[in-house]
Amino acid sequence: MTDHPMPDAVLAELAAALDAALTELGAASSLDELDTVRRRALGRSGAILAVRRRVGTLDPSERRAVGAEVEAAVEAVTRALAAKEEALLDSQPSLEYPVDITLPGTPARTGGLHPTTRMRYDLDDAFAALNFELYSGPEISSERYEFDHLNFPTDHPARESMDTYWLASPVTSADDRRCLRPHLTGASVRYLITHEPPLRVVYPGRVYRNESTDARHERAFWQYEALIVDRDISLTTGKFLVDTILDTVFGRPVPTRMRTGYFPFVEPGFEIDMQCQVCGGDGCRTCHGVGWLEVMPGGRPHPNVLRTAGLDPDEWTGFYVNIGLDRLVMMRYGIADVRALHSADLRLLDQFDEG
Amino acid sequence: MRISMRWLSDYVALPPGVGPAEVARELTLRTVEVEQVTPTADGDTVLEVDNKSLTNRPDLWGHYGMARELSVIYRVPLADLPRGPRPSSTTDLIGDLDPAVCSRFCAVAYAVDGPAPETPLWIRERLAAIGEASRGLHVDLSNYVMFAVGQPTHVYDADRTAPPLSVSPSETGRTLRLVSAGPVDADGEVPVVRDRERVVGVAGIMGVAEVAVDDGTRAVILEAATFATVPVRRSALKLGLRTESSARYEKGLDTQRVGQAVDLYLHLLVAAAPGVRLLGMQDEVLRETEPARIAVADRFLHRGIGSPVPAGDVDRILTALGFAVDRGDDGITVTAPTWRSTGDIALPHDILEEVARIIGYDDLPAAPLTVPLKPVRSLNRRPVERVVAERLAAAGLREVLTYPWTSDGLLAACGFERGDTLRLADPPAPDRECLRPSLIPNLVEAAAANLRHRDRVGVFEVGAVFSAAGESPRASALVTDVDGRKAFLRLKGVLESVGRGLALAADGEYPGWADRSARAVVTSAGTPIGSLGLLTRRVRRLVGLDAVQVACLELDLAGLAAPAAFTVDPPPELPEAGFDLSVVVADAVTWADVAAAARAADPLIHRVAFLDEFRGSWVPAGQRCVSLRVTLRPTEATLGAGPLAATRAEVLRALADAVGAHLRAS
Repeated sequence: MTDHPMPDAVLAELAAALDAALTELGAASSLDELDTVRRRALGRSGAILAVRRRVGTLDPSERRAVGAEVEAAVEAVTRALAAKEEALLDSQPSLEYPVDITLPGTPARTGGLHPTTRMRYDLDDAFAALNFELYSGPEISSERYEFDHLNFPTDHPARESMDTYWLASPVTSADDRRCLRPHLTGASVRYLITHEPPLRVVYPGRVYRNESTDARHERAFWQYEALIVDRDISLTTGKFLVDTILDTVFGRPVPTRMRTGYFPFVEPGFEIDMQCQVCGGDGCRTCHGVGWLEVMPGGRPHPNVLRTAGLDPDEWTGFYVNIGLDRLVMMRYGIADVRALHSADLRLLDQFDEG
Repeated sequence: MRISMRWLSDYVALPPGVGPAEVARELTLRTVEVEQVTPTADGDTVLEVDNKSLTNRPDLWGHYGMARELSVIYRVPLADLPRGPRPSSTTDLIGDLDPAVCSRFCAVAYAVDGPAPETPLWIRERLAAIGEASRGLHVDLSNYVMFAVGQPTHVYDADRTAPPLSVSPSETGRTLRLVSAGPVDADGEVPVVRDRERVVGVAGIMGVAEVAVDDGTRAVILEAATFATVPVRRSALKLGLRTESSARYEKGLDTQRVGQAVDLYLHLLVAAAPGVRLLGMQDEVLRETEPARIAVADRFLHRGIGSPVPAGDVDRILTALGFAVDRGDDGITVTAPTWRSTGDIALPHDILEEVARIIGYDDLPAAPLTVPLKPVRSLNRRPVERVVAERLAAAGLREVLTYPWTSDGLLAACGFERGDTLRLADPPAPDRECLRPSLIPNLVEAAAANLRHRDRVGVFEVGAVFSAAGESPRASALVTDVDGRKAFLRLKGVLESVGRGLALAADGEYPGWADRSARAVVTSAGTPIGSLGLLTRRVRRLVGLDAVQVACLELDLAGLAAPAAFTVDPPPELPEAGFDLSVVVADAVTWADVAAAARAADPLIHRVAFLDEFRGSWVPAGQRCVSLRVTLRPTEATLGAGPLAATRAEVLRALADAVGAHLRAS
């Protein structure tokens, strides 16, 4: 007679431990309670592991069968624990109190570019893809560059159509009055003088007019001018540039019309009107009730302008498009008053994201 | 300019169904911009034309010219202008004519006996529709003729005028009383019309009141003349008098139109006053307007437009517009009508425009542009202004645009000398004639305006500043906070996010706006290019910001260093470990000194980070407690507690030796 314990007694102990573990497990209502159950059943001093330690004391012929029972019990408890843990995880939310989803989101960012700048950069990228160079002319220019070089006859009324901010003496030289540039086109001659055709260039910038302001007129505003000079640039090529600009800015078809227009530095000249996006063409304060807004004048450089730049007008042709950037921004975002763009009013500017 | 639809119908019969809106659209697309369409109470419709779009078209300053355009657009006939009987020639109406001012002068004398005849109702209605009041028969006829054919005329009371009429420069120092303006001082450069005794009118602009026709006028001298563009324009500018008449002369009128105007006037006069006695007429033509002749190659037209236009269309369009077309083998020779030959039409390009605009730009196709295979403008070469603007926006600041002029008061408070600035001759406001020498004053103004409706502001601007030396690109940023230290350090963080080797230096020249308690020179790769600082109390007081601190940054972008080559720092292969310390140091010891000393204590130390600083309660006066985090990056084996403790002791020893720091007593 040996002192091996009876296998039945061990198995009874196992059954009791298993039963206790499963009962407690069923009653556990939190992950902490479940952890306690795990420790009491399967921990170092747990009831089932206590039974497992006794398997070694059994008669060797009994150990395999009893051992298998014990492992089955361990696995049953482990499986039940995992299932219970999932059930408890599913039943318990992450927060004690649900979130009020109507609370305002934490702002992801507060900074951003001015909408006019954003549009300028968009156009830069679009024209870079068409192999245009980017050029920047000076804001302080002169009568020679802004009028004489651009085929404005002396004393021609068109010189007065741009109310120019002249600089005060004594900084104005006798033969060439200095001014804040009233338009961008003067920069084109500066570029043409120093670059060989064929060429493609854009030159964005701010221009200044000494006039009274209203919803459509500002003293300082942005223009974006594109110039292409090559052999055989036609009006139909120019229309392609116009389409490029509008596609870039709006990304959708916008009703436009191309009409005749007069500027001394182009021949022929045109104007692009777009349907007023503030009123959808019905007529409003922004479009003076006509439903259309001038946004892009342009045309083929006048032969006299090409000559001034040292180019032979019989050999070289070109096409200007001059975009009123502020007006396009107004149309893109439905801004009724151009003065808002220079107001530095963050209540307006903070509405623009970078999309 | 206003155009009456009813008036147009005197000259052109539009196709059925073509209404004012359609006419406005077609004129806008092909000829001039119609800005407004307004029905009148009596069933007419008035088109408001933008005068700027008429600058180059003297032929369109009357209804007949507009009617001609419509006759071409709609392919309908244009009626001839009616002509009245001309009186017999005399030689006593016109004297000397200054050829620099006048190229044709026609004068007609007539008399109306008995009661003054009334202006016919239909003429008064036409004039009323375009906003002209009736002023008696003679003035009404003069106005009607001008608004019909674009040729100004003038009527003198013959009983108070002593012909012959002559044209010459005015005498200096003469004050003239004009018909509908205050007294004006004519100097030697204002051309005038005078009779034997006195000045009777300013040529091409306005008549003198003493010889004006009125209700009692029975005898009239009608003047129709061609005055030169530049003298009339200069004279109008000098006198500050822009009239309907001067506006037309400034555009350049052909001499032939004088005859057209006189004929129309006489036709209307005879109809309105059947008993009129036409006493005589004198017509002096010094220099007739020559029609412009231009050769245009077919190839030029087709290449310029970009799509072929049938020869028949070219001929039809030009002929209808009044051009004579002589077609050769490979092109045409065009003779322009005189009404287009005063500067408007001079080049083949002008003919191209005539054809293209009547076809309609809107109807031309768009031809794709071929992109040449040449080195593409590299995206890496984005202009520095854009790089900086995008960095500042990404750092949480909002871009604003302000005007290039700036207020005298802020300029002075910010330490700028007025005498160093460029100034405008005619500024937008009396205290804003200086062009900005810095972006800071306008940013401060923008911040102050926004702080009226929010707690804090973070803005920037990128733009040009101006000085006698020229203009240069700048970027400026501004942040506000009640805590000036926070505002300063936030802007320093913004600066560091721009990269380009930007750093602060303690010594150098500071702008007047920077407070001495918080200011630094900004350097890029060692070269000073700007300033960072808090605004002085004086500047803040000026804009009403006593209760908030304002940090400002200004960079001269021309001096910004090129971006350094970028290489990646590989992530550590072994886990980093570290410890925090709080040490007490003298106020004079800078964070840079503390960090350098700590870093030098052990080669495994990878970085030393600032956590916080504290003054007060238990920290002795003249000292502060600085908290730092030391991080080690092991190279051979994971660091355990022992080596970390050893390094910590090394760091404390090094801090004590180098900057006199001691561990905060716990």
